[in-house]
Amino acid sequence: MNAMRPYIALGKREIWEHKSLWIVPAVIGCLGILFAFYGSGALLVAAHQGMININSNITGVDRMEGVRAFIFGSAAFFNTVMLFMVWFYLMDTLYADRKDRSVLFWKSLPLSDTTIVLSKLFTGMVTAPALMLAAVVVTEIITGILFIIALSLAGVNILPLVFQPGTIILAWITLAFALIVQSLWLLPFYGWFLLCSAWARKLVLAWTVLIPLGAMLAERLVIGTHYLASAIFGHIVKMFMMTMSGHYSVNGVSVGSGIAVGADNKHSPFWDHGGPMTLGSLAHMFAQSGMWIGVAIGIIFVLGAIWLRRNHSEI
Amino acid sequence: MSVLIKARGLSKRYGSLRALDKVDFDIEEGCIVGLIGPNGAGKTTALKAILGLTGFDGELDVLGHDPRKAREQLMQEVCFIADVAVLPRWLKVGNALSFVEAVHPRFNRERAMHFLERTRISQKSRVGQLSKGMVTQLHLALIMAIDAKLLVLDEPTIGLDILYRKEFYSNLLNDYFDGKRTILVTTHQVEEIEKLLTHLMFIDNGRIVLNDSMEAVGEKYTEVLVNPDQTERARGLNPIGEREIFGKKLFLFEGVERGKLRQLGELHTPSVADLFVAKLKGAVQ
Repeated sequence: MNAMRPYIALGKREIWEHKSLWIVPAVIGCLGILFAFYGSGALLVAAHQGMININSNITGVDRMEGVRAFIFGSAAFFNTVMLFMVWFYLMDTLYADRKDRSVLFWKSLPLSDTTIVLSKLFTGMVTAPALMLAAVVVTEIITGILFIIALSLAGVNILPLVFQPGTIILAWITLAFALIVQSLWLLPFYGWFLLCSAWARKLVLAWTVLIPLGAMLAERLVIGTHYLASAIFGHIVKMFMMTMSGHYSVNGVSVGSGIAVGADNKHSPFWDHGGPMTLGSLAHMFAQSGMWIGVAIGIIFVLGAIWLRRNHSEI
Repeated sequence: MSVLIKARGLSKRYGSLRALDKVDFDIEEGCIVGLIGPNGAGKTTALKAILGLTGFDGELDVLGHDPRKAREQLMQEVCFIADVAVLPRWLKVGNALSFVEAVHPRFNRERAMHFLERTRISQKSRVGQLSKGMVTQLHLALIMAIDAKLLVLDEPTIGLDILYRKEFYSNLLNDYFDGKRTILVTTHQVEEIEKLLTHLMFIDNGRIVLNDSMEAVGEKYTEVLVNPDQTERARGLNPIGEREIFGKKLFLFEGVERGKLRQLGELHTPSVADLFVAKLKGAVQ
């Protein structure tokens, strides 16, 4: 445990500085719970007017799909916000130290530049998703209980239908795995943000966006191709297909969570089988060459950020 | 006494500017060395090289390490205050203590708390809420609680009022310096530190123009308040400095026997500031 102490301190340090890492998921969670209150109230009203009719012939498979749709669907919203949050965090983190000159204080401690840069990457890749997942789980438990209570007040007991601990826990584990896969998949972007954060003298946001856009434009005008643009956008689109595509059916009603990819997932080249996100479909992402090319590019960017932090840390 | 820092042919260029030009020096254990020079003379570059914050040419050995290669090992035994107010504004005092305690094996939290108790700094405060003087007190409390062999201070009191400046150096001397530790300090306010220095180093245009112990400086350099009738004779002894004070001439001599000088007028030990001016004027000529 003692050997881990400096690393735990480095992890905490990032959360002290960037409070948004836990405040943002907490705020979204509270909003979700607020909406659930409103929703369950509306449900009660609707039930009193006789507008709700739960089909008791729901099959086991549909029940599982419904629970998963609820768990993945609400997580998708948290995740979208988190991705922007991590972008802004990584872009700011090395730059902020240079701007207020506190980099000189951090460098006066026996911590290597590699350790410091990696602690920031770890925060973006692991800490932020972990805090987000914790908020998702708490929010889903509370909102789930709210809906169950509201429906039972309306005279419908759905508890036996939705209380499937195995399915619920597996869905959360799948979500955790999806977040790890997503962090690895997005490593080239994360590395790029860190590199810009270590390099730019000001306007980091502009540089993170304008350099790739400029490179795309240059390729288009000079060579007339658009390989870079397809590589970058293709990588993002593939990621959303992986984490957000899903096509669930609850009692015959299709519930799409996030971006629907085509009408039929079975035709998507990114699933080896149709259906929603599973541990297997996520593991399949590791067989994509795009994953490893991205990771390699990401590592190069991170090494660049470490080099800049070591040799050119002053603004 | 063992040599703590050894520089041989230490050079650093920024484009065509030579910030350090083949500099040689040794710094021994247990010294308080003042590194004095005009702006842009290469002081900060020398300190940065010693701390592993910049690349350089030549040889530099700090506590047996090459600072370019082993900065994190070096920082176990070397502390520095690069400037006032580089602690981040968002950091809480209590968290600063916890952080340094977790990452620095030689940090003693009780010691830091002991120093902080003497100030008006609360553990719950954020750095951003403290005055500049208090931020320096906090930084010094953190640094003094680290059992380091070498402490490097680069203009540690710039922009502070006289009370904080006095307190800074008296804390350093009374609570930190124990005769074994080594302190390397640069400052513009030479008068404030000259009494605590054991060694003096002048740097100008990337070269070292003086490097001696304070004792040797006192023996080598003599200031003479020359009687008016002796002025020409004094000039004949090649003074390195000449200035007028209350209508009398004040000459500064380097390496001239005191017996000879006594005939000219009243002898004094020159202040570091006067010595500095004389030495640097000489270097310009």
